[in-house]
Amino acid sequence: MSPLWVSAKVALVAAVLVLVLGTIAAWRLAQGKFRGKALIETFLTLPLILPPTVVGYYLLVVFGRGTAWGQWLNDFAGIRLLFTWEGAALAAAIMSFPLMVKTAAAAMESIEREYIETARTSGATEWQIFRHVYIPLSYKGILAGAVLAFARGLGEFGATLMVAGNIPGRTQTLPLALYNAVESGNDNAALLYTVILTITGFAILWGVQQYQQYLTTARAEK
Amino acid sequence: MRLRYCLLFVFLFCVSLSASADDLIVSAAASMTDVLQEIAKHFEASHPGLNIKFNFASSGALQEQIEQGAPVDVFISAAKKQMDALQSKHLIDTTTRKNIISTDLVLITVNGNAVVHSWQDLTSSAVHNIAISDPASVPSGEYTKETLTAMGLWETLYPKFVLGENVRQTLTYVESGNVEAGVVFKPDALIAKNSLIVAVAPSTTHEPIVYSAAVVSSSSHHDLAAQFVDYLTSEEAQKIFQKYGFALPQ
Repeated sequence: MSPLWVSAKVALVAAVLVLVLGTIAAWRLAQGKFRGKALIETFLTLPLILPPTVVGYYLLVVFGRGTAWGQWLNDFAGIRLLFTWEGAALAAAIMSFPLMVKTAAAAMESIEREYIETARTSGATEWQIFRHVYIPLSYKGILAGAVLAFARGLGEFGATLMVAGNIPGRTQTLPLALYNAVESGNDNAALLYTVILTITGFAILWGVQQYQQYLTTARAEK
Repeated sequence: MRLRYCLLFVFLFCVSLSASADDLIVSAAASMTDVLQEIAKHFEASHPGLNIKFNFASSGALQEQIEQGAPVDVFISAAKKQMDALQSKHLIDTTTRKNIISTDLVLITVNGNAVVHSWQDLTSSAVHNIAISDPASVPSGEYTKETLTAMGLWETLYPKFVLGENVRQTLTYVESGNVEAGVVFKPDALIAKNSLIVAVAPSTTHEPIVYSAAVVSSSSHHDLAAQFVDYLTSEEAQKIFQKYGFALPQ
């Protein structure tokens, strides 16, 4: 079941990448207003509404050999992302980044300002506040964001196809394998992949939704 | 194929809306994109009012479309397998089936590549990706698999393959410089702007690459379609084929 293995690898690596970078981005956004915040927020949210093929195209231009920069990257620095599962993971990470940031930022913004102010006046550095106030109080939201990002990464198709190609055993994820199965009339495989993807997506969303509901009731009880 | 079939139907529906009584719809293998458009002009010139509309894709995709009932008049396949499949299902008029041209399978690399000069060079560690067409449904991919298997290279090179959905996409992969080499048909390599042919597959390594054409049984322009198929074997058409790198059918 190589598409399963490829999908798991790609989505997991993408989710970890997004967890780390997304948490930091959410933290900066939750800290308060700063110059250019609206602009940055827009950029970070862009992959949510841009067609995946647009993101795929940007990645092709940046990491392909079509530009002098790309040639240097590929041949000199040895960074070859096209037609690899790593490239697929990067594409999935970009597409799922907004989901992570929005979820984590919402959780961080709901922390009582008091705690942060108190920590600041006690002389804590911003980094210490991040580690000892933000993370413990919003880790559930961060995890929810990462889980959503994993689900989104699992379902990534357009950008993956353009950047990583549809290579069985190498970059053919479940959604790509499904597309192939339908194309070649392999209804059994198509059904299997569809069921796997549907159940996984459903389970993840269900779990996250339960958590969101718990958050709202917990807040109401405060 | 369902998605392609739906899209084709929408396309052909629109085409047939704009098609007048004297129009032919020809489904042809992707490598013939350039040569057929030129040949069509000559045929249209001797049939005033006629407009030939082309549908270019991999022969496997075209075969599936015809099996699903696509309203096509002529089918031109790059391999026997697809034409035979349609013949066994009585979807083509066997009396009109003709071999029209043959060609070679070639190994190409992008301009400036210093590593690949022969089929054996593909095994070098400096070659990370090789573009070939999907052997499951694309003729150029089928022949590639045949040739590389005959050379004992198929298993070794398998991890490097990047699969194209049709021969033109395979060509684009090479032209983009993102793969070190690719395997396409000679006419495709000849129209390439950024790649060059480094080797030709010896004829002993694969079945003859013969393109065949036939009138589709469900065609409503049978006689005109048969005339077009005949024209493809004429001296005038064959000269144009040769200009693009095709050869006489063997």
